[in-house]
Formats: sequence, structure tokens, C-alpha cells
Amino acid sequence: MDFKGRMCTLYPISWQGAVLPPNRPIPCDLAAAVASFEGGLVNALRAARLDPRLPVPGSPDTGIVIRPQVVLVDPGVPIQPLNMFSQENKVVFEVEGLIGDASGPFGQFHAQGATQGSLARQDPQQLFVRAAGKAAKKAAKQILARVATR
Amino acid sequence: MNPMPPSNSNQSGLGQYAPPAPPQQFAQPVPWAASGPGNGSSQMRSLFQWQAYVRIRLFDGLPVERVLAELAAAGVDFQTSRNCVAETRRIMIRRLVSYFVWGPIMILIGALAVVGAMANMQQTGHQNYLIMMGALVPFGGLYMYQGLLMLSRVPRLPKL
Repeated sequence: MDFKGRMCTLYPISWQGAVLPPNRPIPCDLAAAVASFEGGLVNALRAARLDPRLPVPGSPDTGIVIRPQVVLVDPGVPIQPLNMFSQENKVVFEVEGLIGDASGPFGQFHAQGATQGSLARQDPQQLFVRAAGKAAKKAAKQILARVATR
Repeated sequence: MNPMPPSNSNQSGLGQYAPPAPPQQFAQPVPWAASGPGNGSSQMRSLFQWQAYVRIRLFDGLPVERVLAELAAAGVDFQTSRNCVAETRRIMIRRLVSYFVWGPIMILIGALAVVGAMANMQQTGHQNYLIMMGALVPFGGLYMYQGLLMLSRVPRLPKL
């Protein structure tokens, strides 16, 4: 898909209503995961020759407007020998959002990135970064498909 | 509920991102939102966020009645809550498939290997190491047992 420099207003990801498991505290700073998601999304949109820009406060949004928000951030269950192959110890970064233009939204996306560590490698920050990167790729794919059919 | 993580973008690493401006010409991203419980504070949640909330609570082993009560207290209507539980149920059942496929396959391979190895023992002078594949039988059994335990945790769908 080639959108030839079409303008795109990409809002920073919103945490409104995001679900965090009450019994499992997030063991790391999520700033790196957020950066991974936003960076991945920007890169994917640029690869399709869209021109993602920040919203300018006080001025109307230009071009396609994308408003992502976090659905779920799940650190998963700590990996132990007995639950190595369980699905429940995956680190999950799930997002959704609306795609629209100045007249209003015309589509939405919903993407989930999940990564599973191993006994040897279970740094939560790295796992979150990888999960967010996967979610960004899936989200970008859905956004581009929706914009292409517009 | 844990405190919210950094809400934006100054810490996002992309540097140029400013805090989000209030939407002016663009609708709120959550048209079907309801006020949620969180840690007692009222917050807007979308349908996907409620689904994720129900999924997390049910996977943590909470009874479905308690989760439904939490959603009702947050002002989510019963039909939406029921749909969220149904979605979680579908995910749980989909995850169970691998346990009930790979468990019996491991048991079968292990049992065949043991039978084949023992049938050949006389000719090989009891040197048939294929018998070690028998370890697959208890492993497959445990795998299936874990699947059964998970099956017992699949919530019943609340009646309409």
C-alpha cells in the first residue's frame, strides 16, 4: 500500500480505562513498551508512505486521525518449571483505537501482542517491549487496510 | 487496581510526542463505554477493556458470579457482561484443545514405543533404548490432567 505522503494525525497512546491485573503488579517501567508501540506504529505508517504527525493543541486534526488506547497490560504468571508450557505466563500488551478523519471515526482496530519468556530469559521489560512491538505491527496492518478501503 | 502507568508520551522515547490535546473534532474513542470499578474510582472503559477485565478476573480463578457483580456495580448491563463471559469461555475452551490433542498423542506414542521395544527385547539382548520413550506416557497423562483441571475452571454461562 502506498499513500504517498498523506497526512496522518497520530495521538499518543491513551491509558484511559486500561486493565492491569489487580493481583499481579507490573514489575517494570512501561515507558519502554509504550515507546516500542509508538515507534513501531510510526515506522510502519511511514513505510506505507503515510506522514504521521502529532496533534497540535488548539488546531483541528489534519488527514487521517488515529487514536490508540491501551486495553490490557498483563505481566503474566512468573515462569516456573511446572508452568513452562502454560499459556498463562505470556506477557500481553493489547491495544485498540479508532481511525477517522476530521469528520469523525470510520473504523477501529484491535491488536494484541504476546510474548512468552523462558526459564533463562524472563526480563519483564524486554518481554513487554517485544509484545508492544508485535501489537504495533498488527495495529498498523489493520489501520492501513482500513484506510485503503476508505 | 494498580496505579496507572505513565499516561503518555513524554516518556515514550519518541521525544516529539506532546501530551494529548482534548479531542475537538474527533469523537471519544469509546462510544460504548461504561463507568468501571477500577479501584473504586469511576473510569470509562470500552467493550474490549471490559472483556479483558473479565478475562483477567476469570483466569485468576474468581467465581463468575463475583465478576458479574463487579460489572453490575460498575453499571455494565447484564447482556454485555454475559457476552464478556461468553468470550472468555470461548478463549478458555480454545486453549484446552491442545491439552486434549497432544496429551493422548504423547500417551499413544509412548505406549507404542514400549510395546515395540519389549517385543524386540529378545533379539536385541535387552539393549533396546526405545523403551525410554515410555516416559511420554506419564508426561502425556499429566498434560491431559492439567487440561482437565483447566476444564473444571471454565465458567458456566449465566442464564438470561
